[in-house]
Amino acid sequence: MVHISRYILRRILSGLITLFIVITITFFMMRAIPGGPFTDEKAIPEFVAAKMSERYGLNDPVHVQYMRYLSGILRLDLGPSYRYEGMTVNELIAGGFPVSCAVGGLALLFSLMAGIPAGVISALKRGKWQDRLAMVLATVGVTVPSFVIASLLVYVLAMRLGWVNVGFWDGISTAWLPAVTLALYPAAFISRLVRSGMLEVLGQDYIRTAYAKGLSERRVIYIHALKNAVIPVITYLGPLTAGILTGSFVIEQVYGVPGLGTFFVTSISNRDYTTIMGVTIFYSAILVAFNIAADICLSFADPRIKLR
Amino acid sequence: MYDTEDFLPLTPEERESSEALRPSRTYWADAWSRLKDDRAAMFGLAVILAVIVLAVLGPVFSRYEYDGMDFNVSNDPPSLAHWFGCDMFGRDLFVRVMYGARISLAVGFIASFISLFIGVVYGGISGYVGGKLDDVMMRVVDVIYSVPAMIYVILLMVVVGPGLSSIFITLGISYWAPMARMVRAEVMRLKNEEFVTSARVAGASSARILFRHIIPNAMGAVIVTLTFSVPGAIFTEAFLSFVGLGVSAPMASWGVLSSDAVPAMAIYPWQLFFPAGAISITILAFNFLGDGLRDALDPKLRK
Amino acid sequence: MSNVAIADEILRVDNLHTTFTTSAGEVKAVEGVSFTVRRGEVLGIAGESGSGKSATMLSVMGLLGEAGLVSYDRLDFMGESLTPESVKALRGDKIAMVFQDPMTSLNPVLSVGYQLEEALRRHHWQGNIHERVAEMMTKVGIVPAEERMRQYPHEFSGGQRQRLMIAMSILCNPELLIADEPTTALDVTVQAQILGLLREIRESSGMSMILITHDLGVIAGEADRVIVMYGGRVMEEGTAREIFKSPAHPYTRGLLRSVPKADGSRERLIPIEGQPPDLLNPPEGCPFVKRCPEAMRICLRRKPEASCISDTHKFSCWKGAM
Repeated sequence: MVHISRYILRRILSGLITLFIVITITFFMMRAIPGGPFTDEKAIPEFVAAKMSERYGLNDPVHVQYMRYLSGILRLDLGPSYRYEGMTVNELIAGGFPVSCAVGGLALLFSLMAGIPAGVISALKRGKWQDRLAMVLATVGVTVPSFVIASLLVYVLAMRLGWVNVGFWDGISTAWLPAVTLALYPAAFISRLVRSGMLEVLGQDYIRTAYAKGLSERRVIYIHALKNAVIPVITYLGPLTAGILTGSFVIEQVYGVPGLGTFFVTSISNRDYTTIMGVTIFYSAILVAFNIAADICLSFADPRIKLR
Repeated sequence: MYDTEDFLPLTPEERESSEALRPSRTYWADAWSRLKDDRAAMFGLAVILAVIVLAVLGPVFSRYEYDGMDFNVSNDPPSLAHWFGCDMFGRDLFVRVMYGARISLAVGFIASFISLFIGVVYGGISGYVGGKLDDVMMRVVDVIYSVPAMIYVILLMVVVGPGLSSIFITLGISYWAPMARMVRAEVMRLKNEEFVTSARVAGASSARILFRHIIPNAMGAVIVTLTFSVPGAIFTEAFLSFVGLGVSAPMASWGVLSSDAVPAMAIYPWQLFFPAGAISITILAFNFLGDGLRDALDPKLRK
Repeated sequence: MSNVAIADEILRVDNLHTTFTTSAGEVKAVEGVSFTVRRGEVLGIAGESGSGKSATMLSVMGLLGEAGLVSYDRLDFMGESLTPESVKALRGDKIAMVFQDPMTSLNPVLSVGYQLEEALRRHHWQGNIHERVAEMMTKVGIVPAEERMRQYPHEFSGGQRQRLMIAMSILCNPELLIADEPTTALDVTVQAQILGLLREIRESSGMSMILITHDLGVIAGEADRVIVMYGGRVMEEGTAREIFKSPAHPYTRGLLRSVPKADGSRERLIPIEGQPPDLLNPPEGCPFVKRCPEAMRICLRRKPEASCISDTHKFSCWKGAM
């Protein structure tokens, strides 16, 4: 256990370095935008803009602003929002993240629960109708843009059939449809991953050994084959999380979910730079954490991988 | 029972005639013949070629202009005059979808080629030089991997401002990391092969060995990655359009056309259906072709 | 070599045919193969890769899966006819197998202890499963067994993994061990150790063995009787002495010429020229005709039948019909 905690510590350290680089790049990219955040707004009189620049410390030299931003982050303070008067980025995230987390967490769960069984079934029934059906669905899942599927679902389920209500947020009961939509692409991807993994594993010598021991087909498939075939899925957990994070930008908008994705997209059109920066850094931190978790899971699933 | 003739030894000619002919083919000819037998891949290739032809020639031969407004036909459903119907400004959707194909395909190909170029050079150098440099270069790739590429794209788009060329550049410089990793792995696999050693013995320079001898041999894997990154870029562009960072009016990519149609989807569903269908079919085609190419070019399956 | 005289049959195979359906067409991997294995005996099956020797044993064991179509006139194990169902219960119990590549034959994500115990559990071992595994691991020389049971396959060398495979195969005291190229993937010194281990186990338990290999040297040292296969057919069959002292089939003679002699004589090795037959388009006549230095016209057109030289020695060649 000692080496695992040391490994985690080291990964957290290198994750922090990564985050530092991300913070720096994001900060200077935002500063590289021509004109200040308030200059191209016609609605704001010049003296107001100047006053706001003053208030947000934008008249200080860049390195002073940078150091101030860094020290803010060390205190887990992402600064004030430029657009939501009187709100801090922390408050925005605290408001939006629980909602996004519910939708995203459900989506993560759905994509694994649908993708893994679908992949196993289509590998076992290779070439039969179950395989064809699963692969047609998987192909649709990776080829149709998510906002199109989301819009179609809203149109059919909400507007035509009236089965669900969309456009407002009422906890988990309104989370499942956005979550299912968000899960479609990763579920499709996972099912393809598991299918090809299973097909490859089933042709391995150790599967023949397992049969030669007299083991039942169930045991061979669910213990010997599946344990190997899900390893690529664990490797995919990092990109999967990233996909769900970014997918939420669109899905939350279509379903009117007041999550972090919606805030992020709004802050882009509002040019709310501190919010853009804050959310980017927050997302990166989540992703770094998930990548570490995924690597630890991987080391448990695959004994050949040594945590170094 | 048997003729005594039967028990005469075989003459060299008889022996020769019994040998089956084994045709020998080059790698690419071999791959092509395998690809030709893959119906899904050929379907994909045919669709892609058809879309390219329509994108290039369609708008030229159409009666309508992609930005020609006619408020008499606002939001008209599909008809003989307007096959895909019209949008809210009375613009013909068929010509707009064909014109959108130009933009979406241009985004797909140009962005992919930029990321291909960066990825091949970066991954090639990293894999070929190895050692400390490789460590540092791969550490950078790790950092890039730890932020969702979509977030970069959005940040960069915010910085450089919307527009077609911003999209090319932004996507190109955001999606090269997978290509770089793949090329690095291929280069590391190939650099100890005999043909590389012999080139080195013959005195070829490192750059020459890398780009003349190693990279061409990694081309199979590069092409497969490219086939998957083109639809990826088309997808990403559609996504950007949806969050309001796509190309600006009156130009329209498939993504812009679809996302513009979403608010009025309940009333004018065809406005969403055609551009969304175009994206889906094209991405499907690239996926089929990519799967087929991977099978056809996979050296592991080669006998 | 053990005594051949005790003639109770462990395994009898009559007229086995195995066909694979591939996208390129039907492949006849095994065509009309018959043989018997007696108690305590070692039957060697020799042949190049693609000769159908592994396909024969996988067919008998029902391990080919859906791709292979198997038919036979008779398939008896210890006097009882084998069905696809009954063979399942016997696999890993009374009939065990050891495969060619120990590096890939163990599941990389399960501990070796688990993989060994699993076989005992499947066959309802009466007694302490854990102790039995430790005992067998010690027997094959993997010590300290308790500690090594917790390890994973990648922590063992190739030779050790083959020892583990052997330990796994003999857990349930099998009557018949089928060893498919058990030493091919190993270093020469390790080869000798593994063969010695197998001999030791045979001598203490009295089990029979089928030893499949392309290496005639291995067969010469271990087998009581030998079958030589080529192109999915049996070319020659006889006692080890008959095959090595007086080979009758041109193919057997060719094989023997291509093997270094154990007595250290410095004869030049003569490889057999040409390629094994393309099983997708098998030759109409004798499968060996294209490479046979003694081929005749009839060999191109008709398949030869078996001719007997003695009670134990048979070969399939038109030379025998002359």
